[in-house]
Amino acid sequence: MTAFLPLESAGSARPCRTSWLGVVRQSCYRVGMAFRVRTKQSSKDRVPVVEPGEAIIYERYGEEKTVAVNPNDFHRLAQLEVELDEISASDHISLDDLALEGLLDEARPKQPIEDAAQIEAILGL
Amino acid sequence: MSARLPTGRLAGTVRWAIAPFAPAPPFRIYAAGREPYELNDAEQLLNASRGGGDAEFTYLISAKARPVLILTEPERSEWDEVLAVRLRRLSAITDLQQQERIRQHEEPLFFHLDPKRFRLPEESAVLIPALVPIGIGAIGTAGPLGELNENEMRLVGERLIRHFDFDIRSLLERRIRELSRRRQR
Repeated sequence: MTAFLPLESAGSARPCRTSWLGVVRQSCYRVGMAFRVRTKQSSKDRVPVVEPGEAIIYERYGEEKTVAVNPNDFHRLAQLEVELDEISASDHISLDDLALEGLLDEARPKQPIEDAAQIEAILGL
Repeated sequence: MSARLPTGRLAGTVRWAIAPFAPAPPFRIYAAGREPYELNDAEQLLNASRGGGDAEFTYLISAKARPVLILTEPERSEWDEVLAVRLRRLSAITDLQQQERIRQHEEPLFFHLDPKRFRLPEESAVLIPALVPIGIGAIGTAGPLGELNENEMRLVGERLIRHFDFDIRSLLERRIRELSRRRQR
């Protein structure tokens, strides 16, 4: 079966179910990770020719085993992953001394009033 | 005697903790030697502060020992508080189809925790809207009941942003501009 995959189908913690011209994503997690690439001689395996924009999904017992894509598409996807990693890198704003001082002052209890007479006076009880 | 504290990484782990409920009317104010004062109107308490005073009371609030998913790591030793999110037991959801939808990750306000990976008393899911701050001293020291991986935490983060509708437009814009600049180089 040949299907054209949207980019968001890449990777899953649970198996993705792929249908003709689309991916059923409800059980899939988006996984952002760079590809680990192994190079093999094509003469060693029976490798299909895949046109640009096409993906061939090999299934076994209803589960996706392997996807073959055109090398240009693969490198485009790999580059997208690298760029996605770059733009989603942590932009954490560290807790500096000024903010820490504010937290300790504003978000920690100090001397709560627990004297009944004082409470009644303040709250007009 | 100082409190025993949990060790190891906290963010991404599910642990037992004492999780407080948000103050809500009737507000119960502790007073030494007598029954707590009970006030139904927040305005009465707010007015005491609006008048320029800085009165601080001991509010009696409820809390519950429960497993939570911890979202953040304590960044400074001086500030011992983390953000967590409460869990929902699946057995509390009477509709079996809804339970199954949660298991299949079809309910975006829940994040199912696989019982094979999380040693929880019952099968549970993270309840995305149920954020709660927790003091580190209120987290159990017995270690995590399980841990979400980086990708799963990324999904939880995405769902939090979407649910609470945090406006990240300017952040996205800046990142896209940075990416565009990199590509032009």
